[in-house]
Amino acid sequence: MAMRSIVARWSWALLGVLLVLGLVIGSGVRLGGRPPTTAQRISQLDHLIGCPSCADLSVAESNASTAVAIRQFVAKEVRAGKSDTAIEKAVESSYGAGVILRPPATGLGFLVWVLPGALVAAAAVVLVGVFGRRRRRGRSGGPVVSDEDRELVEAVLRR
Amino acid sequence: MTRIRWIATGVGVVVVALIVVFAVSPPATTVADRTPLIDKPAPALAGPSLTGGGRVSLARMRGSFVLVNFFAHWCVPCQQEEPQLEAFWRQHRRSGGVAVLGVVLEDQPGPAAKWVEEHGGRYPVLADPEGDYAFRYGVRSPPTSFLISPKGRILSEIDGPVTVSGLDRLLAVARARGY
Repeated sequence: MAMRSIVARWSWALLGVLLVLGLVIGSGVRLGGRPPTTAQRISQLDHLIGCPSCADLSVAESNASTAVAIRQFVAKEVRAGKSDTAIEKAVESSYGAGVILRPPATGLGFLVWVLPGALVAAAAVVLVGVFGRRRRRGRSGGPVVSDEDRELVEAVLRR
Repeated sequence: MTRIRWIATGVGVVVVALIVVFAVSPPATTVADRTPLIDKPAPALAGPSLTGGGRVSLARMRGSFVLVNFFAHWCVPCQQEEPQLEAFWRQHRRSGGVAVLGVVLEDQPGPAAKWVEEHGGRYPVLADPEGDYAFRYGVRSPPTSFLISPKGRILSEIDGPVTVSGLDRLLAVARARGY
């Protein structure tokens, strides 16, 4: 029984580690600490900026003349030492904020950043609560009694 | 009420609130299509005119309303608007106060300028081989036009073919507003 419990705990821990690892890798966060090369920065920006004259494509994926012009601008500005933020602002000043393929961190766009984390946290709280309750009931060895059962019994006793 | 019912009610209220918020907010396409350039200084345009007349620059046109027209000779809407643009230019060339400046977009400068001349246009036309001007004006596709105030500010952006009556209306509104 004890062995089973230890295996179960380690399985949960392993699952948690894998989940965090997957989220970190999927988010594209650079763990090495080495700054991106010029080519990597240009590529990242090209994938972040939408093609203004095509639907649902970044400038990296389009050969429309507007996309080509933006790619050339990005490459020129990166080589000139401009920051990513300055380059994004320059593109936004011509085509508007909608051209950046990343939800804004203000207004309604803020929900896109907050909701997934909030939902995962809420789900974790519910799961911990449910499993904790089950475990406590299992330890007590008695019958499983729900809140509704308790209310029914109390109602009958009050009569 | 049990705890589960409280949680379910809370989740329901949040979901309904989100539906209401998203239903009343403007669609992303509307937000994306709104140009941020209105009432901003018009980006510089300068270079040799492809239709003759030497070097041309937007800065030298200060004091007049300027219609900047991004076009390509292969583009059907540009072909449709050309007679209207031509008529607008001729009408205001006589009275003064309004100029037209063409910018070749997504096209070879030579054939585009020849095409303008063949259709009677004598207004200056600039080449934009790198798409730099189009980028600074946030142009998505030809034809796109901008009405520039005598002080060099962008007053309107017109996506698609222009008409003489439409341009005259824009001019009348701009003048009424004191530009």
